[in-house]
Amino acid sequence: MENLNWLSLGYTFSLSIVLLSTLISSLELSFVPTHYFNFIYPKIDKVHNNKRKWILIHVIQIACTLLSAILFFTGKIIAFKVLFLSLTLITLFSYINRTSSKDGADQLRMITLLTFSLCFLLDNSIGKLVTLVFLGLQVLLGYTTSGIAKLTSPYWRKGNVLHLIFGTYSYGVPKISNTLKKRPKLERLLSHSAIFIMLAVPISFFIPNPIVLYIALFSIFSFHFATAIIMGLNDFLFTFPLAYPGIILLHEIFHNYINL
Amino acid sequence: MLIVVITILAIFYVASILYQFKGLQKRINKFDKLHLLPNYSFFAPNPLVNDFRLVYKINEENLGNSSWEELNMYKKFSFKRIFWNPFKYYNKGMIDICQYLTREFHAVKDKDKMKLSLNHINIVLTIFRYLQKKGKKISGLKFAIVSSEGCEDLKIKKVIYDSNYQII
Repeated sequence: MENLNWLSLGYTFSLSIVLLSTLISSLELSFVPTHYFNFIYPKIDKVHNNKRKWILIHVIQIACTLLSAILFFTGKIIAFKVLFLSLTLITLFSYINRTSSKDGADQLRMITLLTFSLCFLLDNSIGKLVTLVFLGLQVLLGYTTSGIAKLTSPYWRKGNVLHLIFGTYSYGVPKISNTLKKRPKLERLLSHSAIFIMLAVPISFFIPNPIVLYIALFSIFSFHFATAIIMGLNDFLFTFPLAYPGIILLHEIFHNYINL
Repeated sequence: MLIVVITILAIFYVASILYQFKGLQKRINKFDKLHLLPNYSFFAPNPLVNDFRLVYKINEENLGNSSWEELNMYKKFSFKRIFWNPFKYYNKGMIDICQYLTREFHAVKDKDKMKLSLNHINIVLTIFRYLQKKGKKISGLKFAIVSSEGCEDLKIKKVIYDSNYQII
């Protein structure tokens, strides 16, 4: 009974995060045409209608997101599933047609919407379990890859890369870049902390005490918070935590199995 | 149905793991028609330490050629971007399109064909719309992509792409 409650709570949390993330992303995307940039339908014959189509797609996305949330929390599950499927399809349409400007958070959001939709085919609690486990596995893979890629990179290991990244216009803050350049020890500490925090999640996954995993997840969440402020990558902050209930659930399943 | 769903998710997960290996990405890309497979290596092994900058020169009616000007691709730091940052999509989109164009430029033998590239036309249109909104009537423009390092102590590193004059 307690497990079922935890499953429902985790599922509700994940769903809320993906809806919030989709809402923020579609609101932000609907403002992109004000920057004169056309990357939705790069085909020349469709250029004239781009702005209207672009806004229409994202208005539908926003409406589907809000209605899905209302229907889910008021318990109208069949209507919720229909709306959520529509949201997945319109998001997929927008995602496929965007020829550029897609990042890891966009991909995880799309994968999450498709996973939730696919698991509607299953019985209620099995569907919830499979959804959370799959998303947990995806993000575990994400943090492991990111950590290993940084650990094997001579730039990151040397620890003098942050002032260069923060020194760019794209992801930087000049003041922080200058401070780090003047304090190489601090820069090395922060570079190595980034690697450690990434790898802390998969490492703590294998430690039976769940508190260690909670600390690792809190640390990585703080890392996303910092990159949202410093580097402007706010969509990672609003997307990656959707898999945390799945990671916690997987941890419990894994260690229960080991202890059998 | 449970077996079908788990099989689909398992195949996708195995593909996701394999996709993290650079050597396999090209081969797996052939099957990933929806571009869903994620590359989780974020800023590694080689982090982005240079910026692209887009500069243009215009041919204004009755005024002749202008000097080089820059199309803004970047925004200054602000705390509100933690909740609201639509500019990141524009910024990333511009960086991506500059990368696609330079990759195309190196791959194409006949460099004159570059003006037919969708990425080239997309950049021309972006500059044109920007100038149109400013009320400028132009008859032609050319643009260049340069790479730079640093924010306050800006260093222009090199010209990556230089277009011919494009008649509008």
